[in-house]
Amino acid sequence: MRMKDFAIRTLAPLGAFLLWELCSRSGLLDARFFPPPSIILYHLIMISPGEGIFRDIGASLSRIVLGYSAGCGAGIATGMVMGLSRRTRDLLYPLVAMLYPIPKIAVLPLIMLIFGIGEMSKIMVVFIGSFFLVLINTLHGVVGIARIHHQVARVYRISRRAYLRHVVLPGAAPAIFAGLKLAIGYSLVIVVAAEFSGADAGIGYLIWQSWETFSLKSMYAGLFVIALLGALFAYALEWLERRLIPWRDDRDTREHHDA
Amino acid sequence: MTGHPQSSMPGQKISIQASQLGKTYEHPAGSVVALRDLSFQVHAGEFFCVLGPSGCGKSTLLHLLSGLESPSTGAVTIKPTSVGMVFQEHALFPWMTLERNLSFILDQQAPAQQAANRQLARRWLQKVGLEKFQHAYPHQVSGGMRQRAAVARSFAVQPALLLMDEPFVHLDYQTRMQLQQMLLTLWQEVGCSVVFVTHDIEEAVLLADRLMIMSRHPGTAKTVLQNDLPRPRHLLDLKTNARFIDLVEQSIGVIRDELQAVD
Repeated sequence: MRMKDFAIRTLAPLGAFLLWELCSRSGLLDARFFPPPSIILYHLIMISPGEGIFRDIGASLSRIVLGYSAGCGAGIATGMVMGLSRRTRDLLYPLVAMLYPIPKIAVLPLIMLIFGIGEMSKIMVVFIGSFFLVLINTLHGVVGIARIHHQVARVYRISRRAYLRHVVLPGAAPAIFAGLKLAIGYSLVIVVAAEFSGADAGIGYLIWQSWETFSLKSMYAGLFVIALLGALFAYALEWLERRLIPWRDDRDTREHHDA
Repeated sequence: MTGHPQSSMPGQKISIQASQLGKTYEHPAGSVVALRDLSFQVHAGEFFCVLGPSGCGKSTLLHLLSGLESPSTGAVTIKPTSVGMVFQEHALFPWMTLERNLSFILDQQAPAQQAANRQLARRWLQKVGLEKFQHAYPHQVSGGMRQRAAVARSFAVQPALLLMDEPFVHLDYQTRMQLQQMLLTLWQEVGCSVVFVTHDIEEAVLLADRLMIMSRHPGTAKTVLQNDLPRPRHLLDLKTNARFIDLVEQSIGVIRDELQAVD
């Protein structure tokens, strides 16, 4: 069963690669612009390390890890406080609602103005991007906890501490995870864009440099790495979600059995 | 009986004393009177049913008794401090196993004895026939089993007063009867007072020592019927019992004018 699942999940990417390979080899696609994926993979594995791709991956990853984890931490904390306190929500939500839709890349120049063109400005954009996504999802998760759970907690005189730890946190956990998953993908988008300008390392830097020197194979190598990282992050978070939220496991199908 | 609380029989302890309870909700569109001038007593160890149509304020009444809401007028005194409550449904924490749903509450009340609490949780799950499902999550078991667990949870806290808000309303007929019988057995074993809210006349007559029949708009008590059906009651036999049928008809008689008046 698990083998079958795995096979199904790899089918679409493999098929896409195969199609691309065929089109490129047969001349249907111009191989100068669209080199076959096998050649890109060869380039990625054999040539790119010599060109310093690990340094680029390391640079991007450290920016993501720092910005994302700080952003998620702050987002969960702020979302919790806003979810639990009506006052705080009324106070802060208008601000959040205004700041959230601003494309984070659009504020990059401003951030560079404040934090300089070094590491800090790139970490900060990732931080801000993750922060708002996780905040909004956490907030909705906390507010959306069924009224009856609050009532049970009150009738049985559950302490404030236990209430936060054992009712609010798990109650909001599915929504929090939705935020975490959105934010990790978004972090990747932001960091690459931020590295297009004013960086001397990173996957975005690699792509931009390769474009400028017309080393298309290196550019594609950068794109492959991003795709791979994105999928890796998504599956890692899904794995973590299944571990941390076991009660949610195949809920959809269960509900039907129940009826 | 509104306005003059029933005098209690000598020697009987009072569990709940409600006098001239009223609850009004203020909405932007105007105020809604959910309860008006409601007075009654519940004796210690008594099974007290509150019977009425939806919108008669019986859920509001339970919220007032449990302290979830406070009355707009009047007062309610509750003797026992330990209260258990069973809601209509979905009151178990979905993120906890059935056993944890019980032991978590027990841990709150006696944090020093978590191992004993787990034992107690298991014993209560066993009593309601869920010993095989103690490690299941609520969504993995049927609606009837979830309500069993909810009933077990409310008994596990060793309540002197049990508040039940139409706990079986969403169950099918057969499951409902099983749970009604189970509830009676557990109640007789524990001996706590019960306030059981329902709109189901048969259910009220099957379970209650006394039943308070309510009317709506505004919610208030029409009458209180004494139910002298002998205990222990076996619900299957009871449904053809002449006295049972008589009591059901009496209850219908009380609300007859209202049945005809609406809609």
